[in-house]
Amino acid sequence: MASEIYGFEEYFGNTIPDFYSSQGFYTKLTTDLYHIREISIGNADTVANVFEENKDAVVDAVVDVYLNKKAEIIKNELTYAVENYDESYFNYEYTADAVDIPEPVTSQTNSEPLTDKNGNPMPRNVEAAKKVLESCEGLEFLDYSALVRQSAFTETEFHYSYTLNMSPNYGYCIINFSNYDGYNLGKNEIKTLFLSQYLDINSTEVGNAESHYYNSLDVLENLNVLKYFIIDNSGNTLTNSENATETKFINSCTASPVYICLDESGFRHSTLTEKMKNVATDALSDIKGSKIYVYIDDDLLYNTKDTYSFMYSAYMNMLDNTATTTITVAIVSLLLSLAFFIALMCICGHKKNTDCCSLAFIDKFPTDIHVLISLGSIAFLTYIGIFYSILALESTSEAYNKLYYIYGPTSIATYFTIVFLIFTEWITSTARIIKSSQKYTANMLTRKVFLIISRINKRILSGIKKSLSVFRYKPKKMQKSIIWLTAGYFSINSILALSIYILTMHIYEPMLAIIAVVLFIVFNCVCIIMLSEYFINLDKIIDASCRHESVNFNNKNIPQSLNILASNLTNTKEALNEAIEKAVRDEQMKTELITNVSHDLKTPLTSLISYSDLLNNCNIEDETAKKYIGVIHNQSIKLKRLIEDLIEASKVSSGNVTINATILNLSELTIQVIAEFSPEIEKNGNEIIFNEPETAPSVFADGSKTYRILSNLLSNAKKYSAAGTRIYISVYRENNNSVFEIKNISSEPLNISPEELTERFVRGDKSRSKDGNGLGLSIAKDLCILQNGNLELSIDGDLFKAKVILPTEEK
Amino acid sequence: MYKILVCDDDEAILESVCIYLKNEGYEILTAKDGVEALEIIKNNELHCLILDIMMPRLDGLKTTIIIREKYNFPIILLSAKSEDTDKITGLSFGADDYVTKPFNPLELVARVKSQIRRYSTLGSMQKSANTLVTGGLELNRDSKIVTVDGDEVKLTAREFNILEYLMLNMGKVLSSTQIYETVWNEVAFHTEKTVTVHIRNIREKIEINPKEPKYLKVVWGLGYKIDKI
Repeated sequence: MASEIYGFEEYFGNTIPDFYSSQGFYTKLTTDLYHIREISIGNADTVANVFEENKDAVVDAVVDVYLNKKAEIIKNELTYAVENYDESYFNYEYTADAVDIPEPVTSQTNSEPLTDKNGNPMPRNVEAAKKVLESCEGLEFLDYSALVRQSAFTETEFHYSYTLNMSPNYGYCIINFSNYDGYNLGKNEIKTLFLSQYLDINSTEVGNAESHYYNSLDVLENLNVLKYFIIDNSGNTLTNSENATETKFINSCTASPVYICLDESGFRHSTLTEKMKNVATDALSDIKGSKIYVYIDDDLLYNTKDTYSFMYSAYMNMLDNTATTTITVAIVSLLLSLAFFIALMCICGHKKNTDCCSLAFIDKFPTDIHVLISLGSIAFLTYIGIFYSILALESTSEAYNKLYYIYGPTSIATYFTIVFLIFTEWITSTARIIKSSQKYTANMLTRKVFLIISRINKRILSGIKKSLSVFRYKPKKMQKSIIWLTAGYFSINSILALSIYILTMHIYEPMLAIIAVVLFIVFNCVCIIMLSEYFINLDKIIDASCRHESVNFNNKNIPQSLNILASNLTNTKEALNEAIEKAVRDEQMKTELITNVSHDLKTPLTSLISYSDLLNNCNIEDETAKKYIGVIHNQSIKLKRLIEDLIEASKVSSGNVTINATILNLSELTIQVIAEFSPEIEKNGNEIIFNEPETAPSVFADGSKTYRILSNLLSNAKKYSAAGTRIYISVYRENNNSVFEIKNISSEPLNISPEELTERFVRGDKSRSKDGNGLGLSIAKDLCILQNGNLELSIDGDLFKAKVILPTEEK
Repeated sequence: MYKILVCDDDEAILESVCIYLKNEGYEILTAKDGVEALEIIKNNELHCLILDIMMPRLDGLKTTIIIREKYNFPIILLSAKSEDTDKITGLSFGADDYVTKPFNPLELVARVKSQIRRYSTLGSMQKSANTLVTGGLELNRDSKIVTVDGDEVKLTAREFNILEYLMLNMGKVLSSTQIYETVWNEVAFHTEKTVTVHIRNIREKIEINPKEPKYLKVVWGLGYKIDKI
């Protein structure tokens, strides 16, 4: 056939093969040679003759074989009977009576009766069988066929039969024995039987030979190009060449480009390919006694009806019209397509009026899927093409072949076109993506999937890591045995569950299964009770810790971890209680200290004041003494004030005062304070100027403490104001606070920072010439802070400004 | 001759107080602690007791409680404790006055005088219906006379009206605006200072120590009040 005609190899190989080397020619010739072989073997008459000639020899041989086989079978059965004799075998007695022991055997039964291994006498037939085995050889066993009735040995009867297969053409004869009841048949009967069967085979084989013969003859007669001349072993001549003699045909034969001759001088042939030579040898070499001459008529083109000529013309057409032009066209097309391909690569992706490369819709599709679809469709088309090509190539149908010749090239062209289009589509898409400077891998589905998977993987890994870290934790205070207890609990449970499963499902042991179930329940109950106890104790501890009580366990038998927890809680509680008690005690001590100190200081001071006053009233003449007494009296009064202030300062700074805050009218308070101080201030030659606001600001503060603050400030102003200056006082709202502001001009330069002024025992005048103890501002500041307010001082040259800031509302 | 018992564990104070009181012509008994004092009280008829709070054996407060079971002569407590709560405790236990150490001896003498006067002369005096009284302070609305421990005090008409208004609303805190609007019978506008000045004047007239007023008290940031004693 013509598959190789289109092969790439043959077009571009060294030579274009001639028709006689083509595959199509070779296949056709092979079939025809087998037909020639068929007719050269001979017709029905010759086959029948062969059978007839060999009849006696074959049947005799078959009978011999059969009888030998039969004797062997009988011998085997006897051997079996003797060797496998068993007293318990129930059929012995019955069959023993039925057996008629032949003469040759009985004549030898003078000796003592045989016994089995236990000393019991053997049944007679077995005894006989033993004797037959000892005395007979070869075909002699056939005489004792009666001995080996099947019922004597086995319950079922075996019927031995045979089949005879013979094929004279191929020279074999097979006899198969099976199920044939032929023990009682004589030699002649068997021979007759085989003979009849031989004749049956004969007729079948002759019929077959005849049909083959005429079939082949029929095929060969339709051939015009293939010429044959056969002289079979009967001397009959068969040929499709008219008026040809042997010598004449041999001459024509050797003139042909392809010929094969087989005669008494051997196997001669034209220069055939190696393949062809092998096929010819296979088909014809074993033909014996026949002469065969075959050749291909050179005049192929004029025998239009012949298959050879049809094939030849198709082949030559191909060579003439297609081969050369196709090559040229192919090369030109290749060049053209290359040029167009380059052009396509250059222009693809460019739209009208745009410079940059734009992507088509398909380019947004995942690139790897795109490749897969393209490759897949190409592979699918290729598969279909190959499938149908094979179908057409392997078919012997004429119609299929013709279809293949006509549509084959078109189909191939279509195939390549489609493949090319798919490829072009893909390559332009790729070109557009690359030209648009987008990463080709960016759109890959694989990449995205990989990224997602790796992300999920990471999450899973971290999850596993996290959960594994549980196992890495080493209990710090829990008993180490808790791990073994947990492991033990699970393993015992698993073992019990497994044993229940095995006992119920695999080994049916109801008692054991019930015991296992009971054990399982009891074990779990015990564990649950222990666990509950643990949690009850834990709950007790938590409850006690909430109520700040110590935990007392009546039962000492509690886990170590809980013990630690409980004792720690108790310790903590005790420590806390101690700390609180200490704090309370300290506070009490501090208060007591202040009270006691004040008492111990005040008592002698009272006497000091009283006696200095009494001294003053004494009738003392000495003026100097009077002056000294006056100094003592004044200083004791000053000391009294200092002690009072000191005690108050210590109380205030330690927060040891109670604040009874209410809403106060700051304006009213200011006026009340001014009223207290104005006589003394005016005595000093200063003037208070109070700018009363339209709406009085209120403060949330303790009245007497606030009075103390304001009076301290006013007393400061009184003490340190320069003579003849005015003291300005104002009250106002500022955000959420009310402010009392006092400004005065200091008589001394203020070489001190406002922060220092609120320190205890610090005074603006370094000379300490004025009376004052430096506690006033400190007390005022502390009182302000105690009432959620503040005291701000500022110094601008000689201008001293103090701002009392107090909240307007309760916080 | 009024008999006064001075009870203090500090001898110096005891002696100085005795000197001042003897100068005033009182007969003085002394005790070192509460037990001694109780012993003396049992054997003498007293007119006034000056009692220190912090004393050994039996302190002043306990002594006061025991004394008040039987006697009603005035008791003046002396103490180094100057907290308001201490004063309130002392007064509520039955004391009549409270003087904090270190005290001005003359002030103590004045307070003793005042207590004795009240105890001896005013205790049984008939009071007219229109007289307002708190402690030793009396205000007669008909005669327009104000007396402190029996001594008449000279007040101006405004001062009298203010004191009368305060005493009529005894125990209530009255703001300077309220006082002004009632007394002056005008709408108050930046007049607090006026009221304050008058109040100060009244205090100087009726109080023994105006810095620590007994009757007319300043409620800082709210106003003024007179408490019922």
